[in-house]
Amino acid sequence: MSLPTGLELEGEVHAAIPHADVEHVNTPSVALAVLGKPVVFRCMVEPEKELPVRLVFLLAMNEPKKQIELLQQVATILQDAALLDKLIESNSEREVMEALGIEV
Amino acid sequence: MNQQRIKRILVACGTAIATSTLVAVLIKEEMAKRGIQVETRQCKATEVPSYSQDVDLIVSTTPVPTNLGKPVIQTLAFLTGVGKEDVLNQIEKILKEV
Repeated sequence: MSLPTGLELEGEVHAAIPHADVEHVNTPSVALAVLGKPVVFRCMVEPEKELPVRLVFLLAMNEPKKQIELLQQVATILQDAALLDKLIESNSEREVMEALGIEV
Repeated sequence: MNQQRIKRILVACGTAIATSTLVAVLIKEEMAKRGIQVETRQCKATEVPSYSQDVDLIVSTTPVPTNLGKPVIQTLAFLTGVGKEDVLNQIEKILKEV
């Protein structure tokens, strides 16, 4: 069964949040890929819709009920158009971390 | 109409992990602000038919059957923010009517 994970956002930039079942996660974490060229993902809620995705948040969670904050942070990022622009304009890991306010 | 009764919402997503967890928490918070007590239960989209009997509303981030005799809202608004206020109003309206 295929479960698409594309998210259509407000602006031009779209995202995807691929994730796996909890039993496959060894260490909870989030990986972010900023794609230079968009990759087509299908929309999670309307799989017939194809979205050009620039930001991929790979969510590895083993106890989602304890990782609500992390999910909320991802949702907050997805709703911040200025931040999304900053992320896709980033040219290095450092720039991405700085945009997200993570100490390098 | 009994607004005091705790309303039951079935929250579904593909894996019953990431998005349904977030949606369930946000619906509870937002409905509490609107004076509606909500109890949520999470499941995978494929499990919706077997869990839908005793719920007032089904909210899903992925396609689910809509012919189960219960109101269904399929939305990504809690993740993307797009149309979130509309969806919250819709949920409130449905819960007040059941």
